Amino acid sequence: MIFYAWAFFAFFVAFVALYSALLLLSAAELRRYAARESSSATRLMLRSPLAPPITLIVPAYNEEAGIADSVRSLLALDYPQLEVIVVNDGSTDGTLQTITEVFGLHRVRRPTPPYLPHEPVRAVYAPRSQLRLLVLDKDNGGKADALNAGINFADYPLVCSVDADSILEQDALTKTALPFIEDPAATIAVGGMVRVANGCTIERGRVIDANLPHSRLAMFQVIDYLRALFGTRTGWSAINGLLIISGAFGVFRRDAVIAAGGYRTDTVGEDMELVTRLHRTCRDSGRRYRIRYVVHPVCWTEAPEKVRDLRRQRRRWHRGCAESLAYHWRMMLNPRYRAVGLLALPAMLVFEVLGPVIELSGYVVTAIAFALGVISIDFFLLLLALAILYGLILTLGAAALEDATANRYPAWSDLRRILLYAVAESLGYRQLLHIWRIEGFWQLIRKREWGAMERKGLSRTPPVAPAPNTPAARHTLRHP
Amino acid sequence: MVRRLVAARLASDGYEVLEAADGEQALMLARTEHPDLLVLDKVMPKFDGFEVVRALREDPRTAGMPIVMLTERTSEEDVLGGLNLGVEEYMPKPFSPLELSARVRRVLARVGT
Amino acid sequence: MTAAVAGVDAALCLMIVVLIQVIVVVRAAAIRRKVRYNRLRPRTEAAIADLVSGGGDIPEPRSRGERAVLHDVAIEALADLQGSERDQLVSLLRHHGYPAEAAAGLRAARRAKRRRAAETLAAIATPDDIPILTGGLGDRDELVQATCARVLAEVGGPEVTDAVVATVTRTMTRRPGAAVAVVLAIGMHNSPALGDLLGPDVPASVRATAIAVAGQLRLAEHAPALIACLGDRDDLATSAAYGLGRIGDARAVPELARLAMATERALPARVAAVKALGAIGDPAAVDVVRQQLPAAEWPVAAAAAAALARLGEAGLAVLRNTATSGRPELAELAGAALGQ
Repeated sequence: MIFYAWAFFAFFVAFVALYSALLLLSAAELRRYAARESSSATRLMLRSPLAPPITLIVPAYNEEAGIADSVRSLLALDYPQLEVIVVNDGSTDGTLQTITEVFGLHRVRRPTPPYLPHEPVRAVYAPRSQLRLLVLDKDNGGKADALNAGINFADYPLVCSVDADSILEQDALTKTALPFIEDPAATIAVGGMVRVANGCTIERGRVIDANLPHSRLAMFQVIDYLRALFGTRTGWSAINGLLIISGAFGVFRRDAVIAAGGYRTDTVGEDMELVTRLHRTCRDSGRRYRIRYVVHPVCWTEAPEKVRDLRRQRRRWHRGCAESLAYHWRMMLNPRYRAVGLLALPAMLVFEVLGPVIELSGYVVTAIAFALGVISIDFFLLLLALAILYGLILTLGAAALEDATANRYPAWSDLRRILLYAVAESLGYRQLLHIWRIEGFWQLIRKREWGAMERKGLSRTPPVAPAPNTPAARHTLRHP
Repeated sequence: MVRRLVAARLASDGYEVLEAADGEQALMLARTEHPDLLVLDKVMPKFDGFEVVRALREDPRTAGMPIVMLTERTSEEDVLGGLNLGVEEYMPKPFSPLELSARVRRVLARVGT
Repeated sequence: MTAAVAGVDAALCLMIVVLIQVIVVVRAAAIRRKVRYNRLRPRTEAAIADLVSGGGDIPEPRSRGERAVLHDVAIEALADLQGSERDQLVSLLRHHGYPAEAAAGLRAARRAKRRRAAETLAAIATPDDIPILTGGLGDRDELVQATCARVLAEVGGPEVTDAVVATVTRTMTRRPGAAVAVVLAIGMHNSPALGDLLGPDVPASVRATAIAVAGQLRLAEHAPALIACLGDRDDLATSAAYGLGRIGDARAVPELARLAMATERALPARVAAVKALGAIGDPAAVDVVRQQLPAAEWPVAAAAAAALARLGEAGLAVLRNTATSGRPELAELAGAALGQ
């Protein structure tokens, strides 16, 4: 029992130590960025022809409702040279028809470039006007598959994966392109900020007013995203240990992605897996490289407001996370991979995979110990307090950083709400997420068991949960 | 600051000038006040210039309103990029207010005001 | 054990309370600053705008806060303006002592003040400021160095070129972003000097930036230097090839042809060479490009097909031929190239 308490204790202290360090790194990085952002040098570079052309790739599955608005607002983004490739991933609704009508598309002859494998492209469409738009009509293969197809057809050196229902801000691309202009040789990928659009006033496909959501669940997710993106990702980016760039908004060097083999289609965490693999291939090739995260370019996305949907999303995320760790197990604690191998991957393993188990089992064990009289009430309460408080530091620190820099929620009432939910998060929401994390990993383990059994020749009825390869399932994955 | 510079220039030319701080206000003012000419910046908070133009063109009451757009990118890509929605003139940014003045005069003469 | 946990709990509680306080205090201070600032801005903005269109003089600031606002508004206005009005505003600001203020700022102890001073000079510099700027090249902070170098590239003549070039080479490792801006400024305002950054003895990162700038800005006078870079490291050669394509100088065709045919060179370099041959559009290149069409590597073949479409009637003839009688994959590429 005492051993267990020490383990519990050590876990929390390690968490606070690591994430406080990340917060400090984030703060330093944000300060450095602020100095650059308003300088005339930056303005000069962004206005110049040095801004690399970007291809936006929009995988679309059954998006007939919003696709036209979405594509239009992407084409109108404030960026010198960009093209949009919409990949119609075997939609069963009128997605293709809608977009054909709205943009006056006609079929063009374009042989499929062979860089990355994917489901066959049935036809390629382009508008008669000079719009830089291309539409690929292909057989269903999932989001990763669609992205690979888009990368194949992309004309430009940078590719950006965008979800069909995300809203990019006007200057999102220019701010994301800046690292590529400053350090073109080394910069491989840049991720941007994803914010929760629930509650915002959205008109004509633009976010007019940034408001906090009414829904409690969405509010918790706002805190969640702030914590992850402001608190940890910027910090990891500073030491080149960034493992996740959101699938909703990330810009990559096309040649680097192709050299690494493109997105994997057999995992649900393709965004994290690709970034991890990019670290690996770049390090293996010996070149100097940076994978960065910038908080200022913003992409707005809808967060699930029903518990059921959130649960499904989170289970998938964490399954994907575990899958990535499994695929790249060789990098774990491998000094060759520097920050990724020695810090980021172990941290992910300990705090994302093992962490939920440790924390939840800790509650259970201490409760039992208390009930049996093994520990005093003081100790019990103190341990409980520790379990609740340890996450709060990171959350509040991230909120502080956001408030001091981007400050998208300037009203005092907003701040009150954010602080309230930040505290409340530790009192149930986080624990709920832990349960779902464990469920996610459990799914992964079971999936491997099924695979093993199938190979042994046993016939088994497939699972009740949606199989990971159905079209709908493949497209609703979203990492923040 | 662009807005102020444009407003001051046009005011000193003798026009009556209304200012809008963002795209939403611009749309509202255009719809209620029916100006003879609209000078829009491409990059604005809320709605960007192109979206304002598109919204105005969709409404038959405002569809014919002449528009001058200020944009940093007057490359062919931008103008021909299918987003040429009937904007009368594009002015590059940075701009010369005198040049803007001349173009405004030209557009108004062309439209017949 | 209990004591340890209690200790950590207490520490955490303390940190949490402190964090919340910090959030509130920082926000309140920022709001106060912004309110004060915003009170002064509209008046100042209107005054500057009026003087730009109607003439007149800059209002005399009555407090340090007003002076700061005036400074910021004026700099913003300068960024938005060009032409005679801009020159007029610059001369007014110079008349009111801003250069002298900036010169003093460059000698300040605090880095932030020096950076701000350099930014001011960036907005209003004229050749009179060359001595001050040259002094700024020796600053401790690379950002200040780079800003001064950039401004010197804009307003200085040949006499400052060496100093500017030396600064770029120095700052490229620590502050690549700032150095890129300097090279860009050199390309835009002092393009002969860019030649100094294209030679083989220049560090690769600087050379890479110079090649990119020369190509993107279409600086034809550097075509010979870019042609020389085609024999360089593969990534530099690729960039040089793209640049030569944009410049469109037919003198580059022989070397580009050589690069396109060199199977020992990296694929991106060869593809860039083929694309450049298409962009230059000299029909003399048809033979070489035609030979790349059946290349084993798809990117080269695709680039060759696209290039042939831009090489005049001879190129189109090759495409038509291939579209009807060539291998299926090639016919597909040729057909697509013809369609566009």
